[in-house]
Formats: sequence, C-alpha cells, structure tokens
Amino acid sequence: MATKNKKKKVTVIDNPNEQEVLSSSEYSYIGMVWSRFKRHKLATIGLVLLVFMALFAILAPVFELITGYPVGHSSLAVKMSPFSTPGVVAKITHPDFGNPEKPMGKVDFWFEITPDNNPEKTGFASVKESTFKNPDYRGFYDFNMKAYGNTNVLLTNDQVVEKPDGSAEIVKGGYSEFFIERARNKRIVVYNQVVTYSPTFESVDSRTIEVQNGYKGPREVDIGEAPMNVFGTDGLGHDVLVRLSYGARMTLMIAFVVVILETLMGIFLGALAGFYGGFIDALIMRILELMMTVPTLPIYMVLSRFMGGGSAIGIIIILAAFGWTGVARMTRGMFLSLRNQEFTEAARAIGASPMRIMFKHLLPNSLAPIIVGITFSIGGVILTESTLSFLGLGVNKILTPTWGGMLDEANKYILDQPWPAVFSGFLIFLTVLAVNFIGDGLRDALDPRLKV
Amino acid sequence: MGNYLFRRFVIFIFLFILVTVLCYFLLRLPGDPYKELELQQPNMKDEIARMREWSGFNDNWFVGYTKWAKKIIFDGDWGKSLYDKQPVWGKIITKIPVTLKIQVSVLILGLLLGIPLGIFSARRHYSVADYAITVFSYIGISVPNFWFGLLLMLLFSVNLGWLPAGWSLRPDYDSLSWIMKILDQARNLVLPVFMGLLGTIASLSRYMRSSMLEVIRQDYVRTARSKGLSETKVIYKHALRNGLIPIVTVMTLVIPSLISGSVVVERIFNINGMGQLLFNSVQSSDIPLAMGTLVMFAFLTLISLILGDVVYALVDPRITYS
Repeated sequence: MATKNKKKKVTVIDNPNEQEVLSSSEYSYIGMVWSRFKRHKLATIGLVLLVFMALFAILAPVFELITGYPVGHSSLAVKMSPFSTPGVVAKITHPDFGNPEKPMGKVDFWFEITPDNNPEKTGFASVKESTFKNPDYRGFYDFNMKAYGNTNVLLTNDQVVEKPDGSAEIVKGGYSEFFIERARNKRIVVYNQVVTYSPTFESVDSRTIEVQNGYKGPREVDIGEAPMNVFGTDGLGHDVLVRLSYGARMTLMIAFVVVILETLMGIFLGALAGFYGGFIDALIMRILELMMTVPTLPIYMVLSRFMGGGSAIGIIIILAAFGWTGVARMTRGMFLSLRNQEFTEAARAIGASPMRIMFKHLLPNSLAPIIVGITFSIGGVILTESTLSFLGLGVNKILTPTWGGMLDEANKYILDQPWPAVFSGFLIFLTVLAVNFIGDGLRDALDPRLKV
Repeated sequence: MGNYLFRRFVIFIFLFILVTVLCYFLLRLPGDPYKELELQQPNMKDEIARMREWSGFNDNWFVGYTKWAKKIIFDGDWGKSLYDKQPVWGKIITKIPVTLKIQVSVLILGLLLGIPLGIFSARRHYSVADYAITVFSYIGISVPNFWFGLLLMLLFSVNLGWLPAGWSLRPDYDSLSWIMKILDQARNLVLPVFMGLLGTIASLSRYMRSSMLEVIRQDYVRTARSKGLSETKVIYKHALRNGLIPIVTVMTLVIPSLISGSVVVERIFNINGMGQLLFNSVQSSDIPLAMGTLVMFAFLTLISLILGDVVYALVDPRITYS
C-alpha cells in the first residue's frame, strides 16, 4: 500500500504492532475483534446511539407515567363534542354500482350509518358530486355531506345546521379524506378531517368523531402543566414522545426478527447451493434471481394488502421472504471458495456427514462476511419497513405506532406542524446510521479486506 | 460469448414470464371483491354478476392469467382499467415520460457525481477528505429518502418558496419557447431528483471507493507507477478501467431501487407518473392496470440486468464463458 499509513485504520498485515496483538495468545479471537472494534471511532458512536435507542424503547412505560398519556390515550377523547358518535358502521349503498355501461364518475354516494350498531339510530349520509378516482373510493374528495336522523358526522371546517326535525345538515364540505374498502366494508372511524378505516375498530381508543385538531406543538406546552407533553401531541391528540418510544419498540423488534429469520433462511439455502453445486445450486440461484428481479416494493404492496389489518407478523413474513437473498449469495460465495480447500477434504476423508461439514467446518470459516452483511441489512430492513409504513402498508399505525407510520400521520399536518414528522424521521435516520457505523466497525475488526 | 449471452437471454425471458405469473397470482390473492358485496346487496345479483364477468374475477387466477397473457401476445391488447374503462396501454404511455425524466436524471447525475467522489476518496485514502466522504456516504445511505424529500419540500418550497412542492408547470406552459419549457420542467424536477440523488451518490461513491482501492493495490498499478507514469495517468488510464467493472454489477442493483424509489418520490411530490399509477392500481385491485405497470417495471429491471451482463462481458475480457 503506497499511500500514507499515518492514520490508524490499517490492515493487520501492514502494522507490526497489530501483528503482535494477533499472535499473542492472551487475546481470544473475540477479544481481539472487540479491541479493534473499540478503536473504530464511527463504530463506537454507532454502538452508543444504538444503546440509546434501546433505552429509549425500554423506557416507554416511564414516558407514559411522566406525560400521563398512555399510548392509546388521546387528548381528543376527553373533549368529546356533543356531536360525537361513539361508533359508526357504514355500508355502501351505491345506486350505480355494478353497471358496466356507466363509468363511476360523478355519482351520489350514500353511507348508511348505524351508530353503536343500534338500528334505530340508522341514518344516511350522502356525498354529492364526488369524483371517484379509484374503484375503492379511496382518495381526496371534495364533497358535501348530509346527515339524517340522529347521526352526526362532522368534518373539520364543516358547518352543522341543526334542523327542527332533528336532522343535521353539514353545509360546507372542504377537503376530506376518506376511504372505504369496497369489498370488505366494515367500519369507518371518523377522525378530525380524516375518516380512517380500521379493521379492529373496537380497540381504538379515540373512536369519536371529532372537530378539533389534537395537535399541540412543543412550544405551546407550559412547563409544569399537568400532562407534560414535552414533544407536543400529534393530530390525533396522542403524546408524541410516548408514541415515538413505542415506535422504537416496534421498529427495532421488526428489524431484528426479520434479520434473524432472513439470516437463518439465507445461510441454509446459500449453504446448500454452495456446498452441493450442480442442480441444487442452479435451482436456488434461479429463485434468487427471480426474487431480485421482481420489483419488490409493488410485491410488498400487494402482499401487505393481502395480509390485511397491518399486523406486525405479516410485515415480518413479507420482509423476511424477500430479504434472504443477500445472505444466501454471500454464504454461497464463501462455501464455493472453501469447499475445495484441504480442511474440507480432510473432514470428508474422516467420514464427516455433509451437514457436519457444512455447519461445523465451512460455516464458522465464512461467518465474518456474513456477520458484516447481516449488520448492514438491519439498516436496510428498518428503511424498508419505514417506507412501507409511510406508504400506509405497514403495521396499523393507529393501534401500534411505528416511526414510519407516525411520519405518514404527521405528513398530513406537516405544513402547520412539522415537528412530529421531523422527530420520527430523525429517529429512523439515527438508528440506521448507528447500525451502518457498527457494520463498518465490524468489517474492519473482523476482516479488514472484506468488500461488503 | 454470443452463446453465453443467448443463454442468459433465454433465462431472462423465462424469469420475466415467472415474474408476471407471480405478480398476477399475488394480485388475485385477496380474493373476489364482489363476494361480500353480493351478500350485502342480494337484490343486485345480476349487476354484480355482470361486473364480475367483465372484470375477469369469475375465472380462477390461472385462467385469468392465460387470458390476460393471450390478449397481450396475440392482440397487443393490455386490457382496460377496471375503474374508468380506459385502455391500460394509453394510461401507461402518458405516465412514462415524467417518471423517466426524474429517474434518468437521478441515474445520470448520480453516476457523474458518485464515481468521481469515489475515485477522489480512494486516491486520498485515510485522509480527512476520505473520512469526510465516508461519513457522508454513510449518512446518505442511512437517510430514509421519504423523510429527506419531506424536509426538502419543507425547506425549499414551504419556508423559502423557491421551488414548487409538487409537479406544477406554469399555466402558460404551452405558449413558452422551448428553452423556457425546459427551464420550467427543470424547476419542477429539482426537488424530486435531489431526493433520489442523495442515496444514489452515497452508495455509488462507496462502491467506487472500495473497488478503486482494490485495484490500486494490484501489481500492475505498482508497475505503472514504477515506470514513472504520472499519478493521473496511473489512475485514469490504468486503474479506472478495472475499477469500473464492479460498478456495472452495482448499476443492475441501483436501477430496481430507483423503480421502487419512483413510487415514493411521486407520492411525496404528488407527481402523476408510473409510481403513482402503480401504487393506486395495486391499492385498488385494478388488476389490468396494476399488471400493466408491474410488467413495465419488471421489463425495465430485466433490461437493465441484460445490459449489465452485456456490458460486463464487454469490459472484462478476463471472464470466460463456459
């Protein structure tokens, strides 16, 4: 290496002092790796950051106590307006539905609304002259809403005119988002400005129709005020700090479980391909190529729709099913280069079984690049999961906060209140950065000549 | 080599068919959307049956797939969108240009900036500049790009008001001269391109750096140096050519990620392109439209993989094809 070697990030062979460390028997392999890892500045920063994130996740209940806002608790729920309806069940009754001749352009759209599942209270709400852009009526629409009977449907900026016969008319529509699953229409929850579909409606805490926006910025918080929302509250009236903390739990949990699963799968399939070669290798490599060719994001979109409800397990399965390719390729490469070496021959000569050769002889020798690759893939998984959550395809964001889901929620209010969005995105960034720094340190500590 | 490429080509066609089958299968997984409707609206049975027939949900997925594929292969008919009954192909064609503009700009600018940065970093190995570039590239690959896009939008369009927050050409766009047209488009492209650029530059420069370091270490570079060649000549005449080879492989990974990126970029900046089309059609189970966009994306990915193979074979004469 002709370049200057004054800085200490040096390969083992180049530095005589380090060679001494290597050959002295008082250090174990782990100890040696650790001592090299410690000297890596970025890696140390990364480790500290990651420990901080873990603490942040563990301390979630403490934040709940301090702020007085349990994770599902919303400041909106206490300010229940007289118009609020605890439960709304909506059915689609669409006069032109099923008529192939008539494109679904401008139509009246009816909700049949049954508050509290009480048929006596059934009323109708109609959406007039809406332009439906999608077959499942999802998107932003400009509409007028009318409520009859005892039903009150409120949308922000709407004026409610109560009529003598007890019906209420909402005069001005404004922009509101609502979406209803066409096929499996079950229930809708009307939040401020937002009508959100939620498959597990009963467990949503603030299942009320609300007029207010629950946002409170950090600067509006009085010090010493009873519920201390240090980071403010989000649009639904949840405390941002508590949700960020629970989001850390969910995000980290998903990332680690996915990485463990994809590592197991990747090592197993990569080992088979690299060790046996031939037909098995070709088959696994074709599957791997298929996985890499499929545009993954759309597949995630389709799958997470199918998995439905946004459960964490569904997301984990989806991410692991497509994530094993990197580890598998690495394992295969290492096995290919090791399987013809003398120690493998020796193991084979004493009659070791293929499984034993693979997992007792070859695997330990190929662990260094695999560990480094896995570490980098943690960051990738966190980013993918956040992207999915941000697109509204991840874990159900109302029930279980994740950082990506919070960013999606905060994005709706970002012009007035950018802070929740900035916080949650920054935490994603810091965590991924920490993991990548650790990966860099591990690479230099385990095998400086790796090119992962 | 011709033989090798031909075999790769056959494999790619096979993969392409598999991808379309997989996509169709997955799109049909949620099941028949009309089933529940039928239960709720017993009096509309006939209409629902007609709708189901028309949208192809009465066949099972395999029959549906073969019908869909047959139509494309024999009639060149990509079907009609289930929602507005417009031909899928026409919809896709109108959405392609804006997506290509963004993603090709990201790709070209990413290559133009990322590769020199990587070379520079490798030449100054272990210097402060190298360290700074390494930290920058780690930051670049760690930033969630949707968050970065939102921050850009907050800063440059909301607070400073310099650039549009979405795709908004000037109202008098059609009457502008061609140079103003380009400028107006560029003004709209800045933020979306910048959003995709950060990650692309970061990962390209990182790969370039490590591959250049690998090459610089080799004997023939040492020979070139000891011959007394200037450092510039050593780097750009001798080392660069071999250093670029792994980048070809990296490019085949970057292009699919740009495709996923287009979904996110277009959603954040509300640009009506292929990404939005894909997202909306998949979300709404508009199977012909979703299949059309998915096939386009898979096709682009495969083309980039094939090109990668060809370029790889051209630039690296050491590879033998057995």
